[in-house]
Amino acid sequence: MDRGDFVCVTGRSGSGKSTFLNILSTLLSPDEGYITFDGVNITCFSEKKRNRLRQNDFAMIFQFHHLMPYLTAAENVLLPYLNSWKPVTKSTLNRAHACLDRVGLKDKYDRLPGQLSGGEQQRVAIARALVKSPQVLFADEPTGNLDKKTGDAIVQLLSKMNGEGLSILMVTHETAYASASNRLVTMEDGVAKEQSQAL
Amino acid sequence: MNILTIPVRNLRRKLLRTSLLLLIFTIGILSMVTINNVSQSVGESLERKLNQFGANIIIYPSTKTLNVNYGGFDVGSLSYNINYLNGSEVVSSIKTIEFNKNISAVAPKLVSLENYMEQPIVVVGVDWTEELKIKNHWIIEGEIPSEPADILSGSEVAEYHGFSIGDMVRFGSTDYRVTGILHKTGSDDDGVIFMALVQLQGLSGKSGLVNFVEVAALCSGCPIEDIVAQISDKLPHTDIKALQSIVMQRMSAVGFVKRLAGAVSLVILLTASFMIALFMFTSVNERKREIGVLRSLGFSRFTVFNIFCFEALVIGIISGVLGYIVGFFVSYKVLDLIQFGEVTHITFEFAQFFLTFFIVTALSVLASLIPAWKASKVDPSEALIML
Repeated sequence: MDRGDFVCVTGRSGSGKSTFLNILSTLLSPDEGYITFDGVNITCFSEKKRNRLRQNDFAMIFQFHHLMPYLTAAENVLLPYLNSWKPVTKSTLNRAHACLDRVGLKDKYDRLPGQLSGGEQQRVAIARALVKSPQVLFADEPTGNLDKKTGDAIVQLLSKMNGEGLSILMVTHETAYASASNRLVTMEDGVAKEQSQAL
Repeated sequence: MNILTIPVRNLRRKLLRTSLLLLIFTIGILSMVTINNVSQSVGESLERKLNQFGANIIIYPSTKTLNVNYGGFDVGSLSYNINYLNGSEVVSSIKTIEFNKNISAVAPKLVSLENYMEQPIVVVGVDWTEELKIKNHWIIEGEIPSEPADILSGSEVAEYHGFSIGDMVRFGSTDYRVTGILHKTGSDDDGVIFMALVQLQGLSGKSGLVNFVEVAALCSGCPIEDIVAQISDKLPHTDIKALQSIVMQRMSAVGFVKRLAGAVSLVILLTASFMIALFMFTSVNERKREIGVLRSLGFSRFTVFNIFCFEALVIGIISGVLGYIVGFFVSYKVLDLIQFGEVTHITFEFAQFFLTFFIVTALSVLASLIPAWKASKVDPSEALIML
């Protein structure tokens, strides 16, 4: 991927899309081959270094929002900062609020996930992914649990983020969303094939 | 907000379940503290009561024994230099030893053979106050002697001589009134007459002297050997015998109570710990996706492990403090309910509180170790797969 790419990975169920994404995001280790990031081979990174990558450079969103039900929207966005004994500062809290504003959830900072709609919950997940200004966002079926209208809105949001410089790799079985990307990869039986550019 | 926010909020989320677990663990600690306090009081009281059934140290004047034989004939052994003890000196010396607080009774005795109606009777002079502390098992028909010329008869003596309560008995030139007759004890007490020590000293012409002194010592705080050694230092010209079998029997009874209390406490603590472990296992199973998200955000396995251990730590801390404090007050109520009959003082000891607190919190964390380790091993890619 080049910086600023929006790569869409499609394929049938069981074709290996999510596994592909998990390997690239370092959640899984490949049996063969290697992955480089910024020219560095990250395949043989220790677990500590991989954790650091996922803390600072990579972000992930999933089909199900996976928000903590006992944290408010703002607190969920701050979750990446709760990895430390150091208390969250006021400036970090402001940053979380700013991320929520960016995804269109102003004035919903103190809502619990149960008080938000499906689309809003996914937006909180996106805000959480953006709070540490990652370089790459891995999105695994982000619209899979949403209705079409809401799903479209989410993809539009992702396009906007991409327009602001965020590199995105999105796994989806909805080929319609391929138009949002500038590169299309099709998975078939675990093999990735690059198609012509979507745009 | 920091790393502790996640475990604290999670405990609050499942408030009913957390409260139930807290309640169970607190009741466990409370029971353990109450049992220990009550058993300690019961043990001490039991020891005091047991000591009233006789002395466990006897002090004699030192004697030397000479084996006598002549011309190949063994005539036997001869004791010489048989001394009496100065009663008041012995009693006051014993009261100045370091462990004097462990001495519950010091009962001097003078034994004399007196004539009644031209027949010998063994008369024992006693300090009534101290003697009755040791002989609490006596059942007396009549009354305890209160006047100098009152005497108490053993059952066999009374039967042999036909003594009844109120009878006058003449020793020397003085008449003594039988105020009470002992019920059969099965000991040497049945065959003697008891009178006030000062009276017998006057009667026998041995003013201030005693043959031996019986001492009842409480041995739960220190070994009897230490008490014997201290008495020996104060009274170098005496022989001191610790009746080890009596001590060991008594301490065995007291020890049994304490060991039983300890065993019950251990069972309670282990059960409570297993409850925590079960709670944590359930929690880990329910929160696999949450763990997957945390790992996808870069949380290390060690951090996930710490989060779960901290939840158990919070439960341990709250239960430890509440359980100890409530248990302390419940101990008073329990002692009152079982009507132990004595004023028993339980003091709040900070050292014991902190020790209990640390043991309880350590146990709660230990109970969570395996579930927390299991949580840290969750594969995030598997955990995040939607079913």
